Amino acid sequence: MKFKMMYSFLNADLQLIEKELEAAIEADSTVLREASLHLLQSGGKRIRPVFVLLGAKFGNYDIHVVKHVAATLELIHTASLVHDDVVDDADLRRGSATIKSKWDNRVAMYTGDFIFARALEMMAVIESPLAHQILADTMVELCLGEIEQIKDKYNFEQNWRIYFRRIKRKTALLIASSCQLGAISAGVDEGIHEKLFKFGYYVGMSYQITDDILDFTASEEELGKPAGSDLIQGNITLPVLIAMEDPKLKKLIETVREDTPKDEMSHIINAIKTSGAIEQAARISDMYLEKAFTELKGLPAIKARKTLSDIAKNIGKRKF
Amino acid sequence: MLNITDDIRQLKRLIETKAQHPYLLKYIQKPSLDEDKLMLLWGLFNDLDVTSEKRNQYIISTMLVQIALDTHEIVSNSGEGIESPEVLKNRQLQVLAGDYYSGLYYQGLASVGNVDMIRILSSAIKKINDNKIILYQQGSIHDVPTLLMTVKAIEASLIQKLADYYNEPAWIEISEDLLLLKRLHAEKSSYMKSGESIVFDVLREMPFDDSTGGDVPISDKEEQVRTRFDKCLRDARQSVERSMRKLAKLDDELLERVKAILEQTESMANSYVKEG
Repeated sequence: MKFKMMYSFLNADLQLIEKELEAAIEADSTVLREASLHLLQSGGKRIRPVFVLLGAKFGNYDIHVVKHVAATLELIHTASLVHDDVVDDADLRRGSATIKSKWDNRVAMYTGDFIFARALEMMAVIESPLAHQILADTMVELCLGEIEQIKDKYNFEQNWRIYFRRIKRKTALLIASSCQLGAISAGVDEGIHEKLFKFGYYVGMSYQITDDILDFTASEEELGKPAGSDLIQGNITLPVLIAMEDPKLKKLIETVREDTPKDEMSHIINAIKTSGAIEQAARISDMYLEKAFTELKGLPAIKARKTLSDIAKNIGKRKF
Repeated sequence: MLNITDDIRQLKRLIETKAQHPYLLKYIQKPSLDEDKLMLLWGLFNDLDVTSEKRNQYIISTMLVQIALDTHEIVSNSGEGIESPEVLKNRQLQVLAGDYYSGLYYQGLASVGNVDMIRILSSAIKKINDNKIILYQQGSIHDVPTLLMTVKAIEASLIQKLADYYNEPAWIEISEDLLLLKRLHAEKSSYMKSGESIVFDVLREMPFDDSTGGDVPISDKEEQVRTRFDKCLRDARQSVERSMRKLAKLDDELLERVKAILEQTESMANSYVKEG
């Protein structure tokens, strides 16, 4: 089943959220409006709003309340991408020019800050202090994850625990919070929204590990960047950590720098791909998915539960 | 009786502790604290009936927002060609540090469930960035009043929104006028030091008084820009004096600081380093 088909019953609500997003980026500055709109229309999957809506389905679902949370999560994700493109000095995202390349870093910084502010302004419609605490903690953790990623670049001595903490902060927490905040905005019991948080967390971990695997296995065309880009940039991901358990491979991998010649890099990537590290990383990703399914079992058997399960399966199967 | 010096010192320490991140500080410059904004916030809250605990919380959150914005203000544009790893790393961490300080302000207010304050500050951040782009892109500002309004919005929206929430119009006026004047000082210093100033750039783009009917020589145009700027400076000074009178009382130290800024204007207006 195609990804979007899984939640087609949410289409009307998702359209409402699109309108909220467009309204959220209304600004006096034409450049700011253009830049934000350029970003919103560049084809994101809106996976976070989907998780928010599905989480809310476990409680008193009121789209006119939950839409604020859904739009907030998407705006936070969007703003962080704008700033990420400055961090990564990236010219392209999803095939179109980034704000920093279409305008410049300064415009990207202002646009990101503007969108972050709009996100929180929208979230302020929700009065629940718990919801704000969860979102605020997530935002801080997200930054810490990004800072850690820079700190640990080319650190070949880092252990698995550091990697897992980093991907938790960088990716998993925002998905986990999306599921949980949707539920909280719909007034569900603590036992249920905590399960939804754990479900989102496990799915997010699996999602990031799969992403890190695909960096080695997908084609340049599918990735929009050369295979092994993460490693070239010094980001030590799970397949690399597993491969480095072999002392010979570790010695080889430790030579990687940004200016490592292409043919040497191909040799190293090939060595990682044939070491069994990819398969082992995939098993760990699957293990996280299994944990996500276990959490779902403890939730009421409503349609949203089946959809969450389908989405999780799709994440496990994705090829790029 | 509250003592502004001790309070400000304590607040500065609390803000610095909150914003401390050893790894960030190893690579980027320590976030600078705008003490005048801190003083104005102190003055505003000193006039209000809020507990010292709440006052500290609001001031710390607002100053964290200011630090976040200021940190992003110094993110450099990408240079031509290949940049050194140090330059790249510094830029990357500047971006993330700003986001981190921003997260801390939200976390602080969320931890005490103050949704109103979250709404006020995020609305101010929105307005500030909207106006920053308007100023930065220049083309959309065609007259001096719009220019000054844009600069005021950038410099004073945080305090303006707070003062507006507490219905303190006199504090809105003094904050807007004083912070505009301070920004004009900074712009003039930068212009005199390096010839660079975004406010001068915008003034330069505005239509010129061309009484001769022909092309105005560049040196004359620059003279007109300077004259225009100095008029803004003098007007801003007068506005500060007017808005000061509207405040029922002003703490002695705050008053001294305002006077010092006014005196600085006196020495700045009409003074330019001679070229050539």
